[in-house]
Amino acid sequence: MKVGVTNGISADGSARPAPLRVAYLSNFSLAPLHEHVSAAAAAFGLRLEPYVAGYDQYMQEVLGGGPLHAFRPDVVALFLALDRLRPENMRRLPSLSEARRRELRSEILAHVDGWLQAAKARLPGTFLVSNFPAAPRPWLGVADAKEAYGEREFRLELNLELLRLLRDEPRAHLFDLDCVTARFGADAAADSRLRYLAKMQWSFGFLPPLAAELARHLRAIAAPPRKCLVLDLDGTLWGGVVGEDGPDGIRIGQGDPIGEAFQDLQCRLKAFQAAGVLLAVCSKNNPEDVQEAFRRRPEMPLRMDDFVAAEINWRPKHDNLRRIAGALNIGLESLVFVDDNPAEIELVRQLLPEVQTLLLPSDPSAGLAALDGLADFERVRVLEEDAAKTRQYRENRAREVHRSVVGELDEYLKSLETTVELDVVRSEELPRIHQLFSKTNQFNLTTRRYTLPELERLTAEESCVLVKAAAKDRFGELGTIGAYLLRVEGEEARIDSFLMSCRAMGRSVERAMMNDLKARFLSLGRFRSLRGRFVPTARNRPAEGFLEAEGFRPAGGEAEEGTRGGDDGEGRGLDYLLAYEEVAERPCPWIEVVRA
Amino acid sequence: MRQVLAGVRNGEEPDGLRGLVADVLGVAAERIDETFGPEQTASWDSLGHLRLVTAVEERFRIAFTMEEIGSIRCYGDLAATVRKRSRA
Repeated sequence: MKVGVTNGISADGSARPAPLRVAYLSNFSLAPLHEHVSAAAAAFGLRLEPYVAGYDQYMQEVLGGGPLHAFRPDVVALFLALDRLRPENMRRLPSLSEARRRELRSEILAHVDGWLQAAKARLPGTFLVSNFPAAPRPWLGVADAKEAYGEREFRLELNLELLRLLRDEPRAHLFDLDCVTARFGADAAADSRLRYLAKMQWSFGFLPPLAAELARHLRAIAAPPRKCLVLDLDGTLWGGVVGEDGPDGIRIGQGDPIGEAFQDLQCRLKAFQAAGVLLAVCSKNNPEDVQEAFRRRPEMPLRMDDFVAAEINWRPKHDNLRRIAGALNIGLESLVFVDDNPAEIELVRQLLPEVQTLLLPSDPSAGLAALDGLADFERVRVLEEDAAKTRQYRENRAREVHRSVVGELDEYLKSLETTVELDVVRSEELPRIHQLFSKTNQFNLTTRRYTLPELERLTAEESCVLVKAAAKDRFGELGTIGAYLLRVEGEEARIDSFLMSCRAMGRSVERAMMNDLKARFLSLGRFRSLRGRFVPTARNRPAEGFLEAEGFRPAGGEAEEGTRGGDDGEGRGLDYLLAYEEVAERPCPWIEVVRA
Repeated sequence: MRQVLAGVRNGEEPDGLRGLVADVLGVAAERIDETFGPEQTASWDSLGHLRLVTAVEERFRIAFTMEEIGSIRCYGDLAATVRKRSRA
């Protein structure tokens, strides 16, 4: 079975991953949209392999076992044009009865749903379903708004119901073509000559912005979002220079056009935070001036404690960015750095190429658009855990302070009063578990990036046990912080995956998880041995030596030679074995374990 | 008011047309003569044709009708249509 890395992007850049396979299905001619999408995705470091289905073959290709199935798509995008889907009805819409128009809306929705259910049952991957652009000019003109179930209402309700249908589908997402078309301009997005000559729905000029939005969705589906937005202060969060203009002189707040623009900018940044993005500050200033500014200017939507890290000093910014990544225990490739100073941006670009940079325009009225251009934080859904990210990191900081007070490690671990709850993963928890699989780099034994559909399939198999670990301590909830996947294969059981969030590192949670794994292994029946594997990457040093510490021995031997070439695209790994008779839990006195 | 392009006069080749066609179709400009058409290069297929006329429209700030798009069968036709449109 081929599983493992299927994303078109590599988290650590160490290996060249397989391209993301994207299939395009439609009832009109899409060419050459896929070329534009591949180019736009390349800008995110995402490599695509496209497949364009035959003209109007979107249903046949899904139902049949032909080339689309052989292609094994990671993502299937569906575009349907209403006037080609129901040509007779759509052409005569104003002359249909209200009841018939309502019926038509239901039929179309049922058709899309039917396609989706058929596709889900037959194909792997994720589905991206486009909605329907608003009619730029309803046939009844001005009077359409007074018509019972007029053309506007028909299309609005169709799109609304499609949104609701897709919201509850874990493997399918909405593509808001209506919004993309409106942003570009419906008149410019259409070329009626191409429509008649070539059955194309869009002008050539509309293809690049449409492709850019599609690439954003693909990024959200296939690549882990960046984690932290690091912000400059003067000229970025407010107008002016706090060190010169003073806390009362900087421009922020109502009554001043510049101040209002910066206030909106801060509100937008606060919204990123609500979507799970951490905020940090990196500024050349005197820290006292900055504290004073946040204290004295209540008009600021952001407060000092919105930032999970702050480096306010006169050190070079690339040094400070390194410190911020270190303090948060995340990689440089998780950072986005925003500054209004081109020299600072250039410096970071050259010295820390892993960090994404955004140069804010000098006119603050253009700042919002610049922030909206960032695709680095896109994700297909915001989980409760995401919204709580800032609080969790803040509590982590409290733990750090606590640690420096307590001193001895043993005492410290004990004083944290950590409780770990271990339980088999339920299907509604899979999105969070999938997120862990795609984002955990450091404490990860095999770094297998399963897709959500793959995890769904694995948990349905009897030979697989997927367990999650949730933790809390005296400072609060850490949430779901780890998972392991145990697979039975003949006389052996194998630790397919074992990963733990960096938030839980350094307190022996991994040992509590391994003890649970061992207990579960023993309860499964009589086996020859338990097999583990460590696949080194550029980032997972923290997991090195873990299996030895838990009693495993290098598999070594003539036959295995300790390493096996990856047949599943995961690279070289070191195999470890633990004989059934030797499986024993290791002491872990600092943690209270709850097993469901 | 449409700007009249200096190089587009009766019988003359519109300024930059040959280079543009070469770019869009990915062929050497020297290969393009009056009779150059879909038979001479695979890139001038039906989609390539539409890309070509759209690029030409954009460069010369003109708009062809469907009829004109359908009647252009070689480089000579294209040049003549651009001349006609630019004079209009």
